[in-house]
Amino acid sequence: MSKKSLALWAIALNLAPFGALAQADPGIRFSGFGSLVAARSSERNADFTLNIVQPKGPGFSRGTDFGSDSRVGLQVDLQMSQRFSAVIQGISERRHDDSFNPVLSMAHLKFQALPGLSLRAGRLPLAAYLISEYLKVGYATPWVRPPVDLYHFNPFTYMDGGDLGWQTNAGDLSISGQFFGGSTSAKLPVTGEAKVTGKNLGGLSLTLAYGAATFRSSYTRMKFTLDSPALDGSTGPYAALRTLPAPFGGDPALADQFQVKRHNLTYLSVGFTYDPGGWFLMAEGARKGGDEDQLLNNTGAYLTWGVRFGAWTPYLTVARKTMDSPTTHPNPIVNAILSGSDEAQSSYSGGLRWDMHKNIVMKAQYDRIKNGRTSHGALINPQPGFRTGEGYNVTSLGLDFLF
Amino acid sequence: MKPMHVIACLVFAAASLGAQTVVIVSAKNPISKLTKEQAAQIFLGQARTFITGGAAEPLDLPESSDLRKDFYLKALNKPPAQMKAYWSKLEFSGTGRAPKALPTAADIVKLVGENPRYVGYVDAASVNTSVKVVLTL
Repeated sequence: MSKKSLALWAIALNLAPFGALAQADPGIRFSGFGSLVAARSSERNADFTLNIVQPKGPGFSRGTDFGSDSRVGLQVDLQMSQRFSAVIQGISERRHDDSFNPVLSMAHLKFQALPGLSLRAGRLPLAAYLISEYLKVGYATPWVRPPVDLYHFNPFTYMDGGDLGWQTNAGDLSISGQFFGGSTSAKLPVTGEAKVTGKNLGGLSLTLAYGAATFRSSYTRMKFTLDSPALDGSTGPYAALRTLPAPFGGDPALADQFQVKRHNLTYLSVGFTYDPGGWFLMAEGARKGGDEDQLLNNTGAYLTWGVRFGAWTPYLTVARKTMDSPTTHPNPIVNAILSGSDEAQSSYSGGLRWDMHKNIVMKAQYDRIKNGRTSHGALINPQPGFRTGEGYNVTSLGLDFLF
Repeated sequence: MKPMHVIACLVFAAASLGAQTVVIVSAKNPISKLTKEQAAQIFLGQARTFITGGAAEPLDLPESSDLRKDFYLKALNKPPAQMKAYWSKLEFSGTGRAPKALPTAADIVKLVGENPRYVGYVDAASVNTSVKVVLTL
C-alpha cells in the first residue's frame, strides 16, 4: 500500500467518531458531465491540440476530429454527516497515449469545520487558473474549449494533497480563499513518452465577489521535473552538453540550467468576470514563470464578451500568448533543445451557445489563429510543408451536457 | 366606487399579494430583515452565515417550480440555465453543492419554521406564524 493510500485510510478511520457526533444528513448522489465536439482545422500540415497532453488532433492526423474536445465525467458525492463529505470523480478523454482510459480526477474527503472553514485531503482539482477547477465541464463555460492561448500549457489538472478553504463577508462583498499543498504529475507525448511531476507544490487563491462582479487571483509554485528517456538518455542533448568538448557546444553548466529537474515553476493568474445577466465579460491574464530552462516562460491572456438573447448567447473572444524567454540560444545544442518551443500566437474567436434543453447546450465556434513569426502555437506534429508564423482556422460544433 | 369595482379591486389585490415571492426565516431567528444582496449571496453559497453569526443554509423548490424561476430572476436576474451552469461549476470542482430542494412551499415553511439555520422563498400566501418574512420581492 502506498503512503498516499495509507494517509487516506488514516483519515477515513478518524472520521467515524466525528461523524457519529455530528448532525446526520447522509446521502449519496451520482452525477456527470460531458461534451461531444467535432473540430476541423484548416492547417493540414500539423495537428491542432487542446493542451500539451494530447498527441494528435484535427489537421494532419484527422480531418474532422471527434476526440480532441469530447469527454465524459462521472462523479459520486457522499455526504456522511453535516461535517463530513467525500467526492470521487473520473474523466474519460483523449490522453497522452491517444487512449480514452478513464483518469481519477478527484477523490477527497472534506471536513466542514465551520460554515466558513473547510479542510480537504486527497486528490483535488489544481486551481492554477481562473476556471481550472471546472475546465472540463463544457456546460459551465461559454466556449467550445478554454482559450488555448492560456490553457494550452498546463498539463496538470489535479493534485494529491490537501487544502484549507475559508469564506467570509464584509458588507455585500464575499471574500473566499484557499491555501493548498501537495504534489502532481502527468504524462506527455514528448518524443515517445515523458513524465512531468510537480513536487513541493503550494499555492493560494483569493476570490472576491461583489454583486455581478467576481475577481479571482491564484498563485501556484512547485518543483518541476521533466523525465524523458529521449531527452535525458546517453544520446540525448543534455548528455551531449555534458560530454562534448567546448568547441562542439559542450557546456555542463548549460545542461544543469536547461535540463528540467526540480526547477522552480510558478503560475500566477488574475481573472475577472462581470455577469449582470443580460450580458457578461470574462477576462484573465496568467503568467508561467520560474527558472529559465527548457520550459520557456510565457504570458497568456483573453477577453470574452457575450450577450444573452433568451436561450441564445453569441460571444466573441480575443486572446494572445507571448513568450517571455528567448526562444533561441547562442549554444547550438541548447538552440536545438529550444527549437519548437515557441508558442506565441494571437487569436480571434466567435461563437454561439444555444441552451436547447435544460441539461444540454449546443455550441458552434470559429477561431482565427495566427502563430508568431517563429512559433507553432498550439500546433504539434509538423509535417514537411508546415511553416511557422502562419494563420489558420479551427471550426467546432458540439454538445455539452449534464446528467 | 361601485360595489362590483370594489370586489374586483379586492380580488386583484389578493391575487397580486398571493403572487408575491417572499424570503422567510424561522420565527426563532434573531434577524428581522435581509437585503436582496444578502439573500442573493446566501442562495449562491457566497454567504454561509447571517449577519448575527448563525449558520445560514438556503432551501430550494424543485426545478419545475415557477416560483423558483421567479425568485432567481428577481433576486439574481438569472434564468434557470444560468443557475444550473453556476452550480455545475461548484459541484464538479467539489467546492459546493446546490441548495437542498424540497417538493412544496409547505415543506419549506415547515422546515424553516423548525430550524433557524434555513432560509427559503415561498409565495406570500404560504406564510404562517412559525416563520417571518425578511424580504419581499
